[in-house]
Amino acid sequence: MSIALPYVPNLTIGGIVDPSTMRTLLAMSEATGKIDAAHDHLNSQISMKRSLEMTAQELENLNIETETLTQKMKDVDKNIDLAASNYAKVRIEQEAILQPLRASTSTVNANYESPVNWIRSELKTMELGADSIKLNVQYFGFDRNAQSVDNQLNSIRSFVALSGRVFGIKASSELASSAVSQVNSQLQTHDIEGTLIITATCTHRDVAMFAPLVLDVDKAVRVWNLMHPDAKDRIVTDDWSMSEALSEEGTEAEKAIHIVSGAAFGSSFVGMVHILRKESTQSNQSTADSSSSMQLQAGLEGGALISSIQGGFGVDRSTLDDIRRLFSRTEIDSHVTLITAGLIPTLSSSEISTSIKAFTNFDPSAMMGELTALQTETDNSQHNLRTAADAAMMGGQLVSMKKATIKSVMGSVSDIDSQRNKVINVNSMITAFENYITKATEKKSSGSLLNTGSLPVQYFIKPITKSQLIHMWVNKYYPGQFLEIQGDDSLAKTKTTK
Amino acid sequence: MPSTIPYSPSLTLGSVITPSVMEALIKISQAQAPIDAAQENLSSLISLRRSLDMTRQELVDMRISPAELDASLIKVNADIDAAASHYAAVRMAQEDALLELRSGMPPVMAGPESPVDFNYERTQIKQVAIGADNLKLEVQYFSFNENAQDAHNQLNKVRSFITASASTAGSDANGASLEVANAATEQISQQISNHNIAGTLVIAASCTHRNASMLAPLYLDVDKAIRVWNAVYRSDDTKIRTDSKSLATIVSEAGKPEEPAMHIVSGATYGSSFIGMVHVLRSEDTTSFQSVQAQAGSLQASFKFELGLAGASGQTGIESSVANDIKRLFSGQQVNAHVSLITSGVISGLATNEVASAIKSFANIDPSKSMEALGKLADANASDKESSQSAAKAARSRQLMASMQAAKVEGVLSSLADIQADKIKVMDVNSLMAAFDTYIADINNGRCTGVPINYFVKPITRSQLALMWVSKYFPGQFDARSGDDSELTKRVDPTANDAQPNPAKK
Repeated sequence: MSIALPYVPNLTIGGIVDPSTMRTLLAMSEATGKIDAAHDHLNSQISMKRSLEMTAQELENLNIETETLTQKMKDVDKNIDLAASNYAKVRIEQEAILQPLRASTSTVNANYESPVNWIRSELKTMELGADSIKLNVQYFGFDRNAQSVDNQLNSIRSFVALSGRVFGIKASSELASSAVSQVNSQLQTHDIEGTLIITATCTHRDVAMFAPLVLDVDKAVRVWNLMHPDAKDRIVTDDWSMSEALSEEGTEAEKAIHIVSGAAFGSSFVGMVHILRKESTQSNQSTADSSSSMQLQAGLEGGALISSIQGGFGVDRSTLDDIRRLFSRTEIDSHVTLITAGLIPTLSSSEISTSIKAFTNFDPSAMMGELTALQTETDNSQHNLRTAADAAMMGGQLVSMKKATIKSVMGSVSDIDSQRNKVINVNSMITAFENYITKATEKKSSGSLLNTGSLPVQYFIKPITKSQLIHMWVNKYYPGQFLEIQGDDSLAKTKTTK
Repeated sequence: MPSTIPYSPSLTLGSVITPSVMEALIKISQAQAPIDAAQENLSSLISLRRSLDMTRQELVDMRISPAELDASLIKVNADIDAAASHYAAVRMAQEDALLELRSGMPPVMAGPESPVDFNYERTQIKQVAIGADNLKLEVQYFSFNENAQDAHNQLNKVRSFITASASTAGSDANGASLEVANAATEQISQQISNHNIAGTLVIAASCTHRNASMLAPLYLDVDKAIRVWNAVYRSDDTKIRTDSKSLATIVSEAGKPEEPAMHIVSGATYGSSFIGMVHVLRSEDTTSFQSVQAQAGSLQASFKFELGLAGASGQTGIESSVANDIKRLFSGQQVNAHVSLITSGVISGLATNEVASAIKSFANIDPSKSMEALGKLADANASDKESSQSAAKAARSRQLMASMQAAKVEGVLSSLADIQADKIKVMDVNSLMAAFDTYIADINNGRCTGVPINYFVKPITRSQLALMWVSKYFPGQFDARSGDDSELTKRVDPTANDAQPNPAKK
């Protein structure tokens, strides 16, 4: 079963059958049947292949040569491929036939009133049919998570110290620099995809019948006249017209109206869900901090006029540059179609929580607070360096630099804006399907007339002829005067009740 | 797939049918049918494609080469494309036709009263399960949530000094010295955050229900009916006049093609529909820029000369400190929502959801607080300058190099805070989804009564009314003909009286 059972809303039990509506319904049913056959054929082949594979395994375990079987399996493989493509072909062809048929059946209709006497007639259910189910489920789930992180931390410190004396000029210079850089880049993607296609068709054992079926002859005559506007087809209750109509009884020329007097039921569930959920977060952070100092000193002593000249120049510079970037995105796409016939299952949305990422302390004051700590650290480290440089210059010996301490200033990433989205997803569909099966099998003790599905898959059609109505009319208004030929079950009813 | 089930309030059970209204209603439904069929075809093909994809995967897993299937899939793809464009074309064409038909259906109407006798529970509504439960549903959902944050922070500090001194030979007393020291601090923060949430949901569902309502037994009030008839048929040759001559003519017409009739709704099967759409777009933007600068500088110069008797000395000093602070912020939030919902046969509860506003502002925009922070920075900067000055002094006077002291840095930027913590009530995707859940629940618990999809039309002919009138006012004098169900119930329930309302019945 791959498409829903056809139904035309203006064919009701007890209602008058419009011949063109019935033709449309049967044409829809025929097209549906062809699609079903092609699909069943494909499923049967797939199931055979799976079975044969297990048989081959078993034979192998029994040490039996499986050459012929292996050879045959190749044909099976080819058949499956052909069956699948045939199914596609048939379905496309038949859908093209179905579309204009569906387009010709409107939801809202005006119908002739049913000639059934609703007070006396009783719609009875009897277990005359059989329960059956045909089910096909295809499910595909895909969940992928990828994370990649790149972290880099660089710290570099250097110093140059020089001092010298030439011809009474004494000069010294000192250069120290310290730099720290922290780089972090993160990429995270999480994709979830699910497709579920469920098709199920049931037939139910309950059959509904009007028993007894009592017609209201006056109503019926009026409806007849509405349906047969031609003067020669109408029922006119004068002696001459009636006797002429009775003379037509059983001939080919005799006209009739048809009502649905009962039905056997089925139901179907055809649902598809496709859901795609994508989450991705990308963040980049880089902080570069450098601190440098330079000093120059020069002096000249013992000149003729000027005893000494002393001078100095110093620059102390620190810069910090910090860039943070984050891009986070969640996306949910879902497409659901569900057609159930004969039963309406409960279907409710499921909650999917999505979250989106953001930097935790994305606030100028807080970020600057962290960064200043880093710069203080870098400055201190540069200062230590200068002390080392001083010592080197003075003592001529190497003094080891103090260890640098590095503090992380990278911002952390966390969820914000957690949302609970109501979505119809694969689980909603499965739950609806479970509910459908429960409803299809449960026996209701009261309430609804029918226990199970209510979609007619077999209409029982009762013809009502012109002569039949005339007999009934005469019986009603001139009782006992003529042969009382029965047109419905009214007599049966009175007999059983008395 | 499903469309809204058209309904006119003038077509209630028992009411006299205005032919133009019934015709318009059926025409609307007929115009919708091709749209539904085209959409159903498209959905069916999409479902076919997804199913074949899974079959293909299965074949590959079974190590079967899906060559034929692959060729068919190309055809399926082309067909889906064609079906989608066909759907668009059909819908556009039919919507034009529907617009005209819907324009002809005013929401308020006036018409003749119902000729049905509703007195003393005579006419009853009977529920019979002659229809079928069906559901057609199509849901398309899209939502996305996007957050982008971008920050650029900068922190700069520069300190410098220049110093020089010279002294004449033999005497320290003669000489000149110069000292310039400078310190500058700058903190800049530039921040952009952008948060967008968009959601679109289109739900279309329609149901037919198994329970039908019938007026059974149906009593006509013949006097009311004749008055209604005369209001509907105004010409002399179609009116009912209760004199014997007119009545005889009317009765003789019974069953003839020229006999006029009016029609009432005597029963109906029901359907319901839920057609909804939501589009929500919410965007929040915040851009902030802050820059704080402090600069301190000092200059000192002195000289002293002793040349014999003459001598001169001088000294000058300037010290300046400047702090500058610029803050700029722009924060905006925009919420757009478009919701349309048409339910027929049930009134669905629709609730709103709260959206918290997220407009940012500087936490301390107060001038005194800003100035306080600025003062703090200027102070720190001045002490940096001092350390640079003392280094300069050392460079000038001593032989050894003296380093500047390590600088201490402190952040003085303002933080951002939410202002205007308003909660806005918005109808969003979740509201519509919740309404849909209620709709399905209502169908299952019987709260959904539905709108008629099949009207059972009862003809009331002129002769029928004439005969009923005669039976009522001249009982037993002529052949009685039943025009309604009164006779039926009389047999079943002998206490019921068709002619006169019976107050004792209750």
